[in-house]
Amino acid sequence: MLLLVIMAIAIGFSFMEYRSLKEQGDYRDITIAASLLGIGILMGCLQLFNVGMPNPMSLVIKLLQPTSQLVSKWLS
Amino acid sequence: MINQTITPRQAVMWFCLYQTGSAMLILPSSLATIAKQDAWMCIPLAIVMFLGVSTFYLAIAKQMNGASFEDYFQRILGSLLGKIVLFLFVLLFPYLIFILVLRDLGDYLTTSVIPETPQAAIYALMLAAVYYVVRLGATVIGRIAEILFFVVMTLFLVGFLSLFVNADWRNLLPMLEDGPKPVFHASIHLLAFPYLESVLFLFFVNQFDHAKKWRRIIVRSAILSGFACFIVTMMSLLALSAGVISNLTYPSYFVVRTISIGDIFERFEVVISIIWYISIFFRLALLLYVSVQGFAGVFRLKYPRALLIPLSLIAIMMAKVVWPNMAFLITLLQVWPYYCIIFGLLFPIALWLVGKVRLSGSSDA
Amino acid sequence: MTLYRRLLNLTALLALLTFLLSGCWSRKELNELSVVIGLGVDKLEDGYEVSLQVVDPSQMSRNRSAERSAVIVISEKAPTLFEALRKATTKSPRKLYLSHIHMLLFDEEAARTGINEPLDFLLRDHQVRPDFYIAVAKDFKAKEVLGFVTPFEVLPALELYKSLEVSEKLWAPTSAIKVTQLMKIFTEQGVQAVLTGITLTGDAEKGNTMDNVKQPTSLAEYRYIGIGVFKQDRLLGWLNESDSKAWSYVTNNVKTTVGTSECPRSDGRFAVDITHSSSKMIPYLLNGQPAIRLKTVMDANIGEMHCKLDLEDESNLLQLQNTLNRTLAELISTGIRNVQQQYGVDVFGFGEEFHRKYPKLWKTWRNDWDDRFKTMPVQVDSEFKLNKMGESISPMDYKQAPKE
Repeated sequence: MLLLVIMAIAIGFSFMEYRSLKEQGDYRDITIAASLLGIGILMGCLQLFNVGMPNPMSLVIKLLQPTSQLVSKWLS
Repeated sequence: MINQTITPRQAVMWFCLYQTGSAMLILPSSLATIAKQDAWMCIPLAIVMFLGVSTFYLAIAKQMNGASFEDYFQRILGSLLGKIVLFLFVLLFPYLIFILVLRDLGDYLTTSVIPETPQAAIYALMLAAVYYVVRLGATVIGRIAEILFFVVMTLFLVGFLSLFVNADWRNLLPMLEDGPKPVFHASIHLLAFPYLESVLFLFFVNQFDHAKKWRRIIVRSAILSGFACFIVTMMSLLALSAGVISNLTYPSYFVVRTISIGDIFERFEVVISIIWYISIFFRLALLLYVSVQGFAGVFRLKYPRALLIPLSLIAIMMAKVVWPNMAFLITLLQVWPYYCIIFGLLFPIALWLVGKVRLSGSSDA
Repeated sequence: MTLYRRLLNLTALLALLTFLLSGCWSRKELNELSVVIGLGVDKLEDGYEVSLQVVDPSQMSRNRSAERSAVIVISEKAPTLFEALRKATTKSPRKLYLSHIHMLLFDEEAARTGINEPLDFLLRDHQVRPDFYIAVAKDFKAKEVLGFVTPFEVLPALELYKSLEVSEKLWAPTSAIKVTQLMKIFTEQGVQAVLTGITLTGDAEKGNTMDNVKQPTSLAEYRYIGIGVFKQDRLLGWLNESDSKAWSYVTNNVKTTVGTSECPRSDGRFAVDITHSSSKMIPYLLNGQPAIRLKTVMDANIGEMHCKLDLEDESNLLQLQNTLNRTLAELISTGIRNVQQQYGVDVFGFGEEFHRKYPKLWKTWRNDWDDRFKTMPVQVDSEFKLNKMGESISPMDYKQAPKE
């Protein structure tokens, strides 16, 4: 529910921004910003339907944990 | 948004608040776990190491030669490769930290101050303020930093120096009980987070005339924030002891709870929350500013501020995902310094070497 | 934009912002909270009985009724503290607010089983502040001590809190232990915890009714009775008054107190008002084994004299001083010896002194420190300085009696 409100506000403000950009004819800017906005809305919808999203930090931990253990052993 | 300037004084204050932000709350705990009662020695050591690192950043700044950081990437790596590397760098370093800091803010507020609030509300309100201020540009952020710096520092000093009444100097003994190795280990952690994030300040080099001026700014801000971290760690160690601090999730919040002078000066811990909230605001502002600059450089946008809302929205959505629980966070904090070393030290070294080869090659030809 | 338009925008923005000031989800209205000022934990076979002393706000206002008590004690039984506190809402119309806890009481059973488990909740909760005192109720359940009606203060937990604070400053055997101190002791291996004890004397059942305060002499009273010795987080036993005094002297917890001694050449005792006391522990090695020397320095004034001595003569004063020196040194060494023999746990912090001074040796000693403590030789050097004698010089009857 709260996420819907946030997404709605985001879309609303985006339209205000795009209006000023459209006057200057920067269609390229608008497409890129709109596609990123689309990604954001997609993520929001996924969260609303409780679909799990992959966690980038698990990859970071998996890659770097051997280094951290090595340094701890070396320095203690 | 790109062509706004910031004065050196404002930059020092902004960067100092940036570095004090996340560090102040959790640092005593992570340092005390490794170095125990010698945790206070890590901070001067880390600052000295940072001075060395900053000369290296100066070398990169000199290589940039007045161009902006995004253009520098594309100059030395070629147009396409430069854009790809810039995109990956911005995505994996400033933008990821942006999401982590946002989630940290939500966690702290829902643990200590307002437990019943849903985290999305906290993110939305904070990001509304950050979005507005970044949209207005660096000049406005600099002015706000100037005002709020004194507020934050005054409250900070009043809060932490009043812990002197509870100080027990025996908590610092025995010194170097396990030798200097734990101190060194902990100072590497301290150097990595938050000082190696200073590589992001390279985005601001083109605002100042000489690269040397920029270096003076980042060194000054590091010394100021190091002083603040030193006070926090020292006071926490003196008032509680290293054994107690290493088991607390938010040690500086807990230690300020113990202040009680003359039955009047009590219950000061909410002021710590306020200080921290303001510092996090500046942290988020800088990270969002840098991310938007970076992405705008990748896509060659004329008006970067169109990207602000999508990036904030994605951050709100990703913040829930980034760590599922607190134990994951503790594991993450153990490997995080090495991640920062990759992006803050190894990657700039690689950039500088490539730059040296490319630029000297082109000047020969 | 015109000035008018800007002002309008600003006002609208401020009006919207005030909606955010109410705190929305985490708002706590004062009339929805029960302020808990005292918490008591009694051990049962399968969990704890938690008693909460809660302020009755209508009794704190001007039109209070003389018939109702100012506090309400709510008890609840559950395997964990957290459960018991939430269950207590079945008996209370308001949510419990724990930030103002002044006293935490354990009963002896809970202290002997271990206080780490009940304390864990209090250290995790975000509302609980670490500025309350902890005490162990002797011979009574914590529930009964919490239900006691105190003569001076309207809120009993506040009276217990203030009494402990005041008594700690003025009378050596009483020691107030705060939570942060306890947390620190639990993380150190060279020192064990102590907690102050509290008990009720007189007719305790009547002490829980308003009859207790309806006449000048209370039907029952509370007392702080020395300290209890802990090993890890379990209570082993109690120290008597002079041993508790010794503990306070050794750990430098004495602000002012009264010391007494026998008169040197006649019957009777005399009492001195000790204004300043400091003690230093000096660890040293005796044949490779740990030993401690204690140096205590005290400043005192004569408070009460029953001896037949002429205090105009300095040698008499020095005689009194020597007597006090001996008495005090003996009090401290006896106290330490009693703890060594009876309980065998280092509550004085000698281990931590060795940790600070000989860290490498400490690494080999720390696992069996209590065994070493049992046989550790302790030397006490006490230095007493008698300064003044108050408003009168010699005892009244001495001046009147014929001189020998």
